[in-house]
Amino acid sequence: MGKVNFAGVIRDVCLEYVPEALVGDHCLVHVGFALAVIDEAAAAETLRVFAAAGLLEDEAKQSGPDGGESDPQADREGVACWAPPGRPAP
Amino acid sequence: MKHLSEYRDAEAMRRIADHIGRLVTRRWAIMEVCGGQTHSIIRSGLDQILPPEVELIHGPGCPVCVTALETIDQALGIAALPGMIFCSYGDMLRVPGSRGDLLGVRAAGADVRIVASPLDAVALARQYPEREVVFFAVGFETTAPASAMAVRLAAQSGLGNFSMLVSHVLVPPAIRVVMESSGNRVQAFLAAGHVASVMGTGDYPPLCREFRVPIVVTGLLPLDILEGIRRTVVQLEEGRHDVENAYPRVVSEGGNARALAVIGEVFEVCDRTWRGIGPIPASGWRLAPAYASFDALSRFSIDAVCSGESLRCRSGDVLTGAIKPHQCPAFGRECTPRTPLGATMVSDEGACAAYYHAGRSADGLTAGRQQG
Repeated sequence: MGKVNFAGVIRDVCLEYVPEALVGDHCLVHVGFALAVIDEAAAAETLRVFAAAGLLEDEAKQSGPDGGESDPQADREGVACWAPPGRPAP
Repeated sequence: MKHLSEYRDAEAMRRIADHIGRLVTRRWAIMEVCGGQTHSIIRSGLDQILPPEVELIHGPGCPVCVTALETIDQALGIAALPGMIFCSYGDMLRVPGSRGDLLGVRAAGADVRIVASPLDAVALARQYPEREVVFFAVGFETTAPASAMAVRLAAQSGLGNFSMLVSHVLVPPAIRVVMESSGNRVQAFLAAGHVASVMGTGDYPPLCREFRVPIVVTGLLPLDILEGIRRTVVQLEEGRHDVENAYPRVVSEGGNARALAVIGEVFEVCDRTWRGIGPIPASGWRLAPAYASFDALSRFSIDAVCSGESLRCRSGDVLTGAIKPHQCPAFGRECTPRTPLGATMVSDEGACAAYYHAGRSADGLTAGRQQG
């Protein structure tokens, strides 16, 4: 088990299915299990493609925090903040 | 989450929708399979900024909605057994069975508990060794890795008082049913990104070839969905029918190998009846013979129930995209989230509940947000 921070709420999450997850990684979590480590490079690349097509105002645009929403996605993506000992350091 | 806000940017949504508008030359009907995507689409109003040529048809990907009425009735029967601790995800509690729902069983004295993970149910079995603990394992491929791990953990721990009522369902057979249904209008699919994070994309090329439909694996945030629609429209306009992965930050071609291995150990494919749709061959998972002792249905004998669906509920037509929720005569009248006739009005991922909460009225316009 590890600990994942969902916009400020820290929960125990099983990391058994993501052996590659390191502290600081963004994870997709579903019913208590991390299913994937989110590829930040791919996330940024999709936004970069939008931006290059003139579809985003500003690639680096910053918005407010995502907390407090009832969107199911909001509690499915979080940041691993503790992983069991034995995993390589980030 | 670093990119969550960018993927919800309203101005960017409008620009991408306009961009899609410049790509289309004729009408297209695209089904989003996943109930989470339906929720995101209706909540963000994404379908209302799309060009009029692009119609989104809401698919059957809401596990709460498609869990068979007979299975709900079995859950009600098991939950009411003396000494039982019945554990379920919260949104199953108001799903109507033939004779009430789990909330009603709890009000009558049964110990029905809402859990956020099947591991919580395993913990309860450890905590109360003198009682039986049953977990109601519903869901698509996304929830199956958790269910499978919980069963394996219980087996490894020798927990004799833990079992599962399993009703897992699979997405690809449902896509087949939609394409084979008479009067089908769906010309392309947005496949559920979270399902593909587990399963990968390998199930889809044969479906693309057989039915000549594009299938684009798509995430759940508004911008993800618009990108999925954009890629789908490009394929449709070019006459292609390929699998594309529009959610590469989460989905790899092979899926999650560890999760697939545990699922393969604990579950086996079976035929399953989908509420509102009917029996679909090889469309579910049940416990494999090695784990059959964890099957709640074989452990407990419950009275045979005669299941009957409300005659006024058209959730089957909603689930296959034949009608939109507000086209059902009962929508918003005798059927609301407080008094649901069918399961599609219960869960946030159900199309009827999504329409109701967004205030979609019979004329399809937003009539102001209502509180269910």
